[in-house]
Amino acid sequence: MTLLRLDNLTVRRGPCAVLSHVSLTVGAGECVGLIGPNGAGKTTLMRAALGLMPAEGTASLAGLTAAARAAQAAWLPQSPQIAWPVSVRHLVSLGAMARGRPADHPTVQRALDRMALGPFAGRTANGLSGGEQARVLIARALAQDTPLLMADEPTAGLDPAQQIRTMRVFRDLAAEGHSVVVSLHDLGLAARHCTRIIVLHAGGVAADGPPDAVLTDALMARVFGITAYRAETAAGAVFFPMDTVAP
Amino acid sequence: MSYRHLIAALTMLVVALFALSLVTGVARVGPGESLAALFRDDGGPLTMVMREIRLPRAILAVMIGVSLGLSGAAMQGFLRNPLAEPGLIGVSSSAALGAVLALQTGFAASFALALPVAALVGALVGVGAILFLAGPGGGAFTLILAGIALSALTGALTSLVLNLSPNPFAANEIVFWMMGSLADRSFDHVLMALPIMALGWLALARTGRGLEALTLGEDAAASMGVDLARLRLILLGGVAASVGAATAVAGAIGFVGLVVPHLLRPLVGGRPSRLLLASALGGAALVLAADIAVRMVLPGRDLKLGVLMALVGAPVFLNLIWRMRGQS
Repeated sequence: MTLLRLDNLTVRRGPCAVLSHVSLTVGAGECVGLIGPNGAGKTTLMRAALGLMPAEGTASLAGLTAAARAAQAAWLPQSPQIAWPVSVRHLVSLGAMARGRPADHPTVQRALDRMALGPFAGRTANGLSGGEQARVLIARALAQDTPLLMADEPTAGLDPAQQIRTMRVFRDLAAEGHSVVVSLHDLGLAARHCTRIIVLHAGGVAADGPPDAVLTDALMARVFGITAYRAETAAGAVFFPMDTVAP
Repeated sequence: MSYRHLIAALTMLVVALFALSLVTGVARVGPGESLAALFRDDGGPLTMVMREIRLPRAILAVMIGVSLGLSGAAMQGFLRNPLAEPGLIGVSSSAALGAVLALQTGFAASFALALPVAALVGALVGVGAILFLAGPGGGAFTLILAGIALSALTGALTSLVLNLSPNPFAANEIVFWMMGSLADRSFDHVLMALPIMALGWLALARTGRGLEALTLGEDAAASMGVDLARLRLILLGGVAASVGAATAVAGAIGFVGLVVPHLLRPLVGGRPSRLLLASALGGAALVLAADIAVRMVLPGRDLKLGVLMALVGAPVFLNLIWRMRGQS
């Protein structure tokens, strides 16, 4: 089942096209890693896909009303914002309330448990550390319990254990039949945990497929301008950026 | 303290202050006798004082306090900024300009409610300008900038009117009106302001869910099913109606919308939706208390409500800033 369809999506900022004629579909059960250098258009792609910014072409979710969209897709923006000193539990429950569900809906406790936030539930969210706040916001998006979850660099600022935990949660969600689109800079995380990688470069899709097929030396040089050391381990592929190369 | 206890406590405070407001005044009569006169239908002078002077004054204090407290909480929630206040969108300064023009041109003397009507027209023009400048496409930032620009313009025009005023008495009247007061208001003022304010309160009461989602920023709120353009329209309309009507009948009264939500926020667990009702009641309590104080501190001198509010509000606010500084 297709949960997201983009047809010829083009986003302009002034005379420049940030994204140019991007078409793709995301189906149920996929954990899609969206990678690309800074400015490749990862955030723009996700925001335009959700109808949060004007775009040409079609995005399946953009035409929905705000309420209908909230039932289809949850969105986790990159910069954490928690304006008021609300409790962690209340903040996570906002995800359930976005669906018109009560604050004590089982999805709220499940999201708290998934992000190991049980001990923090009664604490004030904006009194936590940056990494802890990031986990609370991930839990908030999980509590929305939508078929599709889009997350913009959710692992930025998390310690290694929490990065792995977060990616496992996303992979588990995909295994349960949801789909996840997550932008990442850590290629190793993307390779180990995503079922599919979409590489954005210069406003278009440079590659799209299973991690092994996409993350080649040629792509590293062409898109990222780096050479990378790649090794297979029991836990999956590891990537170490080694040096920059001339494009 | 739970939310229900807080609301119950604030309600009791408002009721107690309302009763105290009714028994406060220049007439040297005991509280029991005053309250009895309110319900006695003998047409005596004390009954007249209670019904025609003190009762509308106390009711107006509640209405204006509710309007300012509720609008302040809504504005702070919408702009995600504890320093936001209802005056930020320029509605009160537009209302003041309308009133000042009415005083200057003599229109204010043409019929009993001419002054508040002119102020309301001013507020209406002001909110029209804001909606035009920061309408459906604009974000919170555009709204703040448009509000600042409108306040500056209306402030300058008000000063211009004062500057060119050939009549020192009119200038004097303008200055006193702008200080804000509830003295000598009648039921006509209550009846004129109440329907407009009530519409504003109803609109603001509907913003709770959107304000909760806005805790996480505009982008997240939009993805959580909040129609931001609609929310902005409801909120601006609500603030304009309630604050415009409040300024029209009582002049400019600052600090209520700023300080009350700030003081009550920790008691509602930071939740913007719960802060709405709490701040409405808190605002009513504060305006009632201040209006009692102006009559008790300098009984013979007509101390203006807006002046007292700023004199008390500013140090409270400075103290808050001092404590915030210590925390950060």
